[in-house]
Amino acid sequence: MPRRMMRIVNGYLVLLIAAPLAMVGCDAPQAQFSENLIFMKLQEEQNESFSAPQQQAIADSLQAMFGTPDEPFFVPIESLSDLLDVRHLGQAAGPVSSDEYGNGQGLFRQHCVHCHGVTGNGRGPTAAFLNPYPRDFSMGKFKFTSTPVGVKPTTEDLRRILMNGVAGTSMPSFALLSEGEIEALIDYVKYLSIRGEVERQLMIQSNDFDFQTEDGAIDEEGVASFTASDFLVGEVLTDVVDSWLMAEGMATAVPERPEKFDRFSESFDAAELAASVDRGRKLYFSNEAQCVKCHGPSQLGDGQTNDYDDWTKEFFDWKQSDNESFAPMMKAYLALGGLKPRNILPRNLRKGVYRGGRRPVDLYWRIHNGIDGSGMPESNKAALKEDDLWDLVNYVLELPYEDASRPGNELSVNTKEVR
Amino acid sequence: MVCATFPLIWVGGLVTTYDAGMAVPDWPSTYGYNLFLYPFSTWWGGPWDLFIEHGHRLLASGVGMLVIAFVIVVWRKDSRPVMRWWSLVCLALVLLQGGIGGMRVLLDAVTLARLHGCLGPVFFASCVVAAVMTSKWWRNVEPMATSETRSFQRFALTTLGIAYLQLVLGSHLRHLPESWEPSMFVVVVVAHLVVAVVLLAYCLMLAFFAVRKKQIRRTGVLTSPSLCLALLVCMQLGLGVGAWAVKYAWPQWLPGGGLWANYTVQAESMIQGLTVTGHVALGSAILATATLIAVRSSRLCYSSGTSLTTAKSRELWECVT
Repeated sequence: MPRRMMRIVNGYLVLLIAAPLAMVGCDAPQAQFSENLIFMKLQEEQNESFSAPQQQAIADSLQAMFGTPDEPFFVPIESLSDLLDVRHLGQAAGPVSSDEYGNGQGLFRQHCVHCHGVTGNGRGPTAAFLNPYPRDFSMGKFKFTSTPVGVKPTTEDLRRILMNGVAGTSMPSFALLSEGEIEALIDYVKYLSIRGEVERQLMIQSNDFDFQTEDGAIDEEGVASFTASDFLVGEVLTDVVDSWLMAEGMATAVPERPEKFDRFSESFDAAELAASVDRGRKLYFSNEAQCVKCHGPSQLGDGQTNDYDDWTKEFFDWKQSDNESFAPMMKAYLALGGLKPRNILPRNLRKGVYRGGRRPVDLYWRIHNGIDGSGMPESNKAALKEDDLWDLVNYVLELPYEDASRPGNELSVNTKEVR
Repeated sequence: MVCATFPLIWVGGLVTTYDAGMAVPDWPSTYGYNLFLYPFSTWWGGPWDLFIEHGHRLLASGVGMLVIAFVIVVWRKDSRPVMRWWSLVCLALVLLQGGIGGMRVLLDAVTLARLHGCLGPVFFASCVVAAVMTSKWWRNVEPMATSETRSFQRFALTTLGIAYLQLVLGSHLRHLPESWEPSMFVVVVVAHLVVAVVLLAYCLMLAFFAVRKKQIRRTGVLTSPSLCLALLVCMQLGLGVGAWAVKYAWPQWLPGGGLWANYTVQAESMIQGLTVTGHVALGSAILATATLIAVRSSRLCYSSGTSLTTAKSRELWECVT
């Protein structure tokens, strides 16, 4: 073989082996929880900059209460067994592996971390590409729950999302995982969410403590009182845990859907269903329900489309901003690790895609409870009764099959303004 | 060796797809057993992760033994120094690949998993080179160092380089470091998409030259693989979109989203496993085909014999042939 060809071949061999080696140093060796810099910045704007000892005290307190991503821990509190099974945390956390019997470890890193991130802040590596962005657990808000807006989800809510996934988004269904693995993931999501909320509380409450003396030295007494378990557990953690425990009993009880509306029931009555759909249609446009305001007169989700979800709005009210403030705030937000704000778009009801579940009971919950963090409010309890909600559910379920050119109702004054 | 290595790449891809790399925590033993003495029933009837990880090790061992046999045969039967040298390259690569695979397990290092994923196709390509070098065609080939074949050869080498770059980028998406910022992932995905388009353009042009240029067509060994390469890259684009769709849902910037509007991604499903792994395996097949074309065209340009570079010589050559 001529020398020139040998040179080419040798050169290629070196290149082929060197190329991946050159990119070896692209990742960090150990998983770590990251600080909530966005919330810290918010606190700093309202108070004063966090000192290094203050940040250290918060980090130390969090580690003492929750451990690390490889070795998670939960402070043993009285109600812990009602909240989660600590053994599940070990199963869900840490690096991915499995034993000879197929028992998996590191489930969160195997299935969730690439989107939700190690900290559960919804900013995993893939997040920027996904629409909607992955959920940030640290606010303690979850969208598709059986509980009212402002209340935590129940364990069943989390299980339902894990089992069914969220249609039309990147959130997969984990129905092929074993029951034990699902339980472990549910408990780990609770753990991350509680940790995130506690971090926020610590940031808020740390403003009331002294971490530095006037000459700049560490105020040992102030640090000790902040990191004391009486304070951390008694005044911070317990409140957050209680909000989760309370949610278990707050699932909205859904009255049985009248069988006459159920196409698979012997009592199904097509005329009754048609009448209910018509009533639902009227309610859709009414001032009582105000669905038209966001979902639009054509139900295509083309009503109010310039709002943002609570996760995005927490840092800055992008909707209300003027041109001058928008750009610098955006720059600051992105520099802190925030994802580019996107408008939250009301659902196009004609597509038949129901992210929170397509069963009538799921839609009843959505209408009755609202969707936390999204701007979808809970229903007007004074004006809309149980039967009205079923009429709305029936109408929403019929919309994908309704002719989009069907003439609209006479719109109420409010909705005319929106249009 | 080529036929044995391609399934090995498939199984290796499955190991990554199902995150089964740590299903056996020790190496080179399997749960304390000698690799080959691990109870068959425990493996065959065991959990899926264990089945594919141990299966990957067994298959890799088989390929390793094949390479050793290849080295012995070459050193006994083939007197060409280049062939002997290449057999040792293959052996070195398979040993290196096995060692990195083992260290990936012992150190539980994702970085080593990525390196393992990048070196596998290199070894596969080296097997293809060995296959070409041991073929009858290699021995009997007539030199054809015209300007056309030389530019085709340069083009083929560039295509090979791009195909490998694409593979390295893809390995970063497969073995995604959890510590990456979202912006880093965006950079790699965009690079992967851009390089995919560049690779497609190169492969289409290569196929075009292979069909349209008389001298390339006359070689009789470049046209089919060039067409095959273009076809494989087209298929790979489709599989790439499919792999994203079954993993992260249909990309919203692509048309056709309405058809997928109600689709729910199913984690660990067969369709997800096969599509994603198929994308990986086809990437290796593309690299192997590009290697075949590059090696054959290089042989035509640089085989011993009179180099025909001038126009006059070309005319003479065409008269003779």
